[in-house]
Amino acid sequence: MSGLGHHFENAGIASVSISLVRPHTEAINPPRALWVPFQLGRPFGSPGDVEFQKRVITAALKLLEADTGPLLADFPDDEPDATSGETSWVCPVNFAKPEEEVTGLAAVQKAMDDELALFEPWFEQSMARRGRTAGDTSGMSQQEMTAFIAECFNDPLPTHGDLPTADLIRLVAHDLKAYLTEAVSAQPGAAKANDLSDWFWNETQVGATLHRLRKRCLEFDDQAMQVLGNVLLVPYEYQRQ
Amino acid sequence: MARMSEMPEGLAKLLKGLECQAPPTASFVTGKPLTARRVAIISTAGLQRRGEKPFSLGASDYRVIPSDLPASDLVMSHVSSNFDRNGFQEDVNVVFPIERLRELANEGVIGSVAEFHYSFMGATDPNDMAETVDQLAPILKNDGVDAVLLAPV
Repeated sequence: MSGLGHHFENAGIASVSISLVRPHTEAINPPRALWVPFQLGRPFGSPGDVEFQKRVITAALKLLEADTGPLLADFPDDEPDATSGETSWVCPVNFAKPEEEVTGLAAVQKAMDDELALFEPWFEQSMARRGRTAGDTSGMSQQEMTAFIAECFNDPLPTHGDLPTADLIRLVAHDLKAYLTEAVSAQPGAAKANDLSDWFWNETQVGATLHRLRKRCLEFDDQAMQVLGNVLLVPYEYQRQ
Repeated sequence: MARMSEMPEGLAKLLKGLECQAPPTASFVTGKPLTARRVAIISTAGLQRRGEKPFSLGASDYRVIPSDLPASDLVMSHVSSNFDRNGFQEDVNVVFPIERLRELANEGVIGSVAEFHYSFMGATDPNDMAETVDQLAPILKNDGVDAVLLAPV
């Protein structure tokens, strides 16, 4: 990111960058940067915390007034409320523990469909409250998505539209995760970001299916499928051997 | 959590392994006081309009995000799963602080907000984006922009 700062300044436009990975910013040495100690994915702090976000953006923009550089400043405060404390959140909707060994295309798809159906009322509640979903990047319907994921366990790999299959797998995985985490976070109780990710990757049928799909990706020599399996599909901290 | 010491081992290793180099030439552009600046957000979160072509790994192209795009039309097709998306799902300003920027303009902290903002795919080598930035710079200048806020994810 910070590297773009050099390019904009060389083109005559002043820049200030938010820095998330400080060692990278130190190496790239952009004209102006504000390092923030927040979770990756949250460069401006906590959702809904208007005053905190405003402090971060103002601290960054103020660096534009410096006459000499390069300069790398540190934002002093951690984001409020990023992780849960000693009490851990538990999803109150009960359903069967994910079976790692659901086999057969129809059963794999049905396990996911049943789970998505269970959370539909909470997804509707999420839509009513937020007025939006961050999912829906693949352009597929829910049925098409679960069928597509199930078919990935068969040969040949499925296709849909113009996008390469490796890209589609990633987008569908993202959409399904967004559906479930948005739904569950609309329930009463204060689930934090880490709680939601823990829940999705450790306790859901869709998560369990994506863990299996990660291993399936690694069966292919194709570089895009290797990168998907090793890096992009399942976050490092949740990958299973 | 963005402290390397607090990251999962695999992610920290991946990030440490990425080559980061300052370019041979570096400029430092100064200008008007902040209260007179027109600011655009440049995000590398792979943001796009709903229904627009998703970003792919290594993409060096950009998407246009108009200032008045409803939050409900903004989605993210960044290729990585190794960062939190729950914050963005709850509030786009965590990644794309357009409402905060508008408030700062109303309060007179900055001069104004650009008509258009731009989004890139983050995991791409910044040097591969140099040409794209060169194409974008005159467009930004035509919009009156004299400061960009660069926001990674």
